[in-house]
Amino acid sequence: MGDPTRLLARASDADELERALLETLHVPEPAQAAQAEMWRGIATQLVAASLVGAAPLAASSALAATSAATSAATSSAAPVGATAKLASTLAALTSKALLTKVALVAVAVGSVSVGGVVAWQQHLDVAPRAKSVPAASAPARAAEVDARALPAELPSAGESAAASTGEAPAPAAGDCTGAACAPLPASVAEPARRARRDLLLAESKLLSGARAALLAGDLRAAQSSLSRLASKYPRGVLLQEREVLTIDVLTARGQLQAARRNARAFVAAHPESPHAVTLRRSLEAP
Amino acid sequence: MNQPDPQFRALYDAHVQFVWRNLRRLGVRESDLMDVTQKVFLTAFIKLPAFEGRSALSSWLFGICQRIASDYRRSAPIRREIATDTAEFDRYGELVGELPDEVLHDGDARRRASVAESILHKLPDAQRVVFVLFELEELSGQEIADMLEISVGTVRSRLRIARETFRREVKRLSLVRGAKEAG
Repeated sequence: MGDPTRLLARASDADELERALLETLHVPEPAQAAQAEMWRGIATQLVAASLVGAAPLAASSALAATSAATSAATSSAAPVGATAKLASTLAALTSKALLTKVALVAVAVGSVSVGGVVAWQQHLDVAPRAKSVPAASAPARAAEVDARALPAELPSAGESAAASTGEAPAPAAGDCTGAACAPLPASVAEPARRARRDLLLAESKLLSGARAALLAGDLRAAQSSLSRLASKYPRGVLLQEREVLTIDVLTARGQLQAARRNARAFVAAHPESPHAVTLRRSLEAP
Repeated sequence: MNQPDPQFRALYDAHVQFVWRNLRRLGVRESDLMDVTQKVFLTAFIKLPAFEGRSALSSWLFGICQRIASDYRRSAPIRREIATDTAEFDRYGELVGELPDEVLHDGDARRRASVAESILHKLPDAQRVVFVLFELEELSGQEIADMLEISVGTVRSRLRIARETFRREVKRLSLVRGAKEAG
């Protein structure tokens, strides 16, 4: 037995009204401009994803780096803070994509992300894949040294390095206070930098996993990755991103009261965060 | 996937219209189509390494569209908007009284489309998907079966029920019009 005749086929027995209504369901194609705009948004977010290690993404020619960004990236501890901030902005874009009209904003922020990627790669001693660039705001961003502490879980390589530079040894996990948690100085030995890089990569990998799970609609997996992040890196570099993602997951699960509660707490704790702007807006929404 | 951009760009160019159309039919509002389309491609990018090539790429993308559209419909802020739609839908009778003439003769395509969509959304998801893929995307029963990983028999039975519902709803429209003219 073959397929039935389609209702819209000339030979079908559909009446005029049925045909007329079905015809209207032919969705118009997106305009060229809309297609191009969506692609720009996607490309920007792919860079954001590569920033936190979600995908093995090489920066494309359209997303290359400036010498300005590169020089900014060489200034000691700045890149970590700057990168975290950039990640915040971009994470907001990625995870809020459904709820806010971000396409244009994403494009605007795209130029910032370029600097961020470069700063990140420089900092991590990964050979920069990008070559040239439009990222005027990157240096300014990179110059903002984020006082946020390194994760408490800095491994023993960090301890020995810190000791060799005359600093107090790194504290035990979960005991991160005061100067012991300050960013390592530029002079810090290679093993410590590598350790920090590995930590950051591990943390960002978990975070990307959570985000990917949310994107894929697997809320349970997203939640469990976030819980693991919270217990492994209670004061991780990507703490803000984790908190915002947690709010997104709560929202997706329909736990709106909890989401709002967390959002309010976040705004109070990090009023200067790029996320706070978005969160404040969503809190003010009816 | 180390150099995803040219390849992924090609994938995007080849499928963006397909994704766009089907998201719309899966209940994504016009104003959210750009965002949700982007989300589908971002998800596709993340999942691409897991794509085994057992089905056509479009089938695989369609699966992603279905999941994301379903999350979209469940997500809280959207749920409120859909509830508004449903409210309109519940006032349907009221709306219908003045509609059929326009539906047939008037150029008010937007109005007509919203009626058609209301009817489409009366169908359960599983039936709507089959109905849309068959009647509008013009896929064969076998292609739909492969895409949804169900049997052709199931495709046909879902299609049959979906058509019955569709035609019954359209008939209701006609009857209301008839009653109105007679009255």
